[in-house]
Amino acid sequence: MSTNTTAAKAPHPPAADPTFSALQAFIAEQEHLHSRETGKGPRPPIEITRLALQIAHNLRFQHNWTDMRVHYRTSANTGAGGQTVPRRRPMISGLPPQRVYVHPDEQIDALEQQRRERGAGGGVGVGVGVPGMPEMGREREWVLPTHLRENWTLRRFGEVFDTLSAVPPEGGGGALFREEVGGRGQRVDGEEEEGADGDRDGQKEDEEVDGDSSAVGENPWRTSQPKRLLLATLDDDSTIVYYIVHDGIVKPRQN
Amino acid sequence: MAIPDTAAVPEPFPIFKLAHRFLLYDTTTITYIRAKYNIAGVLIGGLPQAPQQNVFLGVPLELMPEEARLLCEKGVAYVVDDAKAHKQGFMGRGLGDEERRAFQASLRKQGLAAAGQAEKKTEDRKKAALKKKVESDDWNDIPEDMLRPTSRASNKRKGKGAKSKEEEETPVETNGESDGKVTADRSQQDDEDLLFAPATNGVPLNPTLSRAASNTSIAGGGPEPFAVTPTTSYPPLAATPPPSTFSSTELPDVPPSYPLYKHMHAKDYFLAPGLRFGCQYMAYPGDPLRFHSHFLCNGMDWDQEFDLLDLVGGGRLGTGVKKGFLIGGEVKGGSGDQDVGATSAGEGGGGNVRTFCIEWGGM
Repeated sequence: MSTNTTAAKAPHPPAADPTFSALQAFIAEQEHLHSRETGKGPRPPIEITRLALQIAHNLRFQHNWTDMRVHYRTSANTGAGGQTVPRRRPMISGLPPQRVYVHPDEQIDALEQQRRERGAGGGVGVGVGVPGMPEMGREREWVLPTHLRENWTLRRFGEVFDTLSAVPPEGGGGALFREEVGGRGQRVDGEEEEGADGDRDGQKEDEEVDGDSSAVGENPWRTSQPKRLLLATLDDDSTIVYYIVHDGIVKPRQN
Repeated sequence: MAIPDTAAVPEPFPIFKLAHRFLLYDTTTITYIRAKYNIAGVLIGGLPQAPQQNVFLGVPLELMPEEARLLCEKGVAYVVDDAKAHKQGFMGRGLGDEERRAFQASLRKQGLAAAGQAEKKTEDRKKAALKKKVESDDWNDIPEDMLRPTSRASNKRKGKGAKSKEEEETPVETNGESDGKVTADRSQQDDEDLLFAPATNGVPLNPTLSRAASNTSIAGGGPEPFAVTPTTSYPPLAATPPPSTFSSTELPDVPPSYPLYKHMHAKDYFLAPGLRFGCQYMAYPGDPLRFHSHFLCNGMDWDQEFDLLDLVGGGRLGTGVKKGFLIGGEVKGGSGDQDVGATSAGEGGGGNVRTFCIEWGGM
């Protein structure tokens, strides 16, 4: 896109414009950072990048996700030939405040385990005797940014899944917000203003790709199931809806 | 799943095609394909008197074109064009003269039997009504047994109550006994009439004879035979399986979602038409009588464009009814790096089909 080059020429992020909203400022700043990178292959269209950034912003501040990262390139272990390739469409990954998806069998398993522990502890132990769902550990999720006006095909979904690892790599892609990695962001309000100063050189890691996607507490349920992503669909009124998409047949949850 | 003791149906069995519908008329076949081939179909036979009661539909069973095609592809069924078969069989002299005559004779025989039974029934009713009127005008509520006026008969009654069981067990002996007593003992005769036959008052019939008569036809100047409309035309006609090699032209036409149907079916899902949920198929993980469905399925071409709103709507509806919304289609090669996904997802029958499940994210 030609607009991309104009953004690259700008010496400072245009986010300094005081009339910009927080979202505008964020997008402008990220575009500026992204354009400063040495160009490797084709970039996604500017509107797709902006779309991804807007959705990341929504997840961060509307849904309290943390450790938001944008992936402009594929991971080494999923791309063809074991090298990273530019994505046609950037993917987002992030850590939701609580688990987004629990497979029904995993849920049964967790409840069963909770029941067993309660029986063993005599009902007076710490954390036992609590009715309801046990706490499930958080898991990083892939987010696919889309717009409602787009038309999709099965082929494109297939291609997107083919480039994904089962679990988003820790530290892969580029971090979007300054915060403690893996923790809850403390500076929710002042985030954009600080970022808008343009002093975030070390923040955006240069597409460092983590080939090993296994996190510390790898959930066997997740790796044994088909891949999943969160389909984020933006409408013109900036409403965003989120749907979980599985790459295969996964039985539904019993909500 | 173990097949319950359903009778095995000789394969290939015919599927009757009528007005672009694929129908099965035989309950044995219907249970058989349900148990063995995971195909439930839809019962569409309504009651002529209450056509709006579509909860109680019966045979025939309508199969989706996909189901008919699948059965044909498996080689366990073949499609018979029913209209053509009837034209050929009945109007085009497809049946030989002897067959035709034999069939007409059997129809006449059935008609006679039906007429005989009907007559017997009216006769019985008339008799019972008369008896009631004569013997117990104002004792309508009390069973007939208690109303026998004569002491002789009531004595007999006591005796009969004790031995009625053995009478039933040894009817021949009883018949002989009653034959002997026919003229002597009127009341005994009445008992026998009630038990067996529509004997006219004047001429007592041999009970054995009259019972036999009700089974076949009334002898000698019997009633007019009823006109019988046969419910099936496949005793007289005979469906012949085509030669074992199928050409693809004989297979039923199917919608483009057939690969998805086949894929899901190969994974042991029961698939039902999905109109009720605004999709193409509903996928049940087992027999629909035992399980709720898991998925609302829509099949499409690999490169067919769809609106994201369809996905959102389907996902929302599916989650609302505790199901997943599933889209899928046959993977087609083309642009570059398809191999990875194709091998990972397309295994297990139904060609190379890849599916995606959509559920609401809950946020």
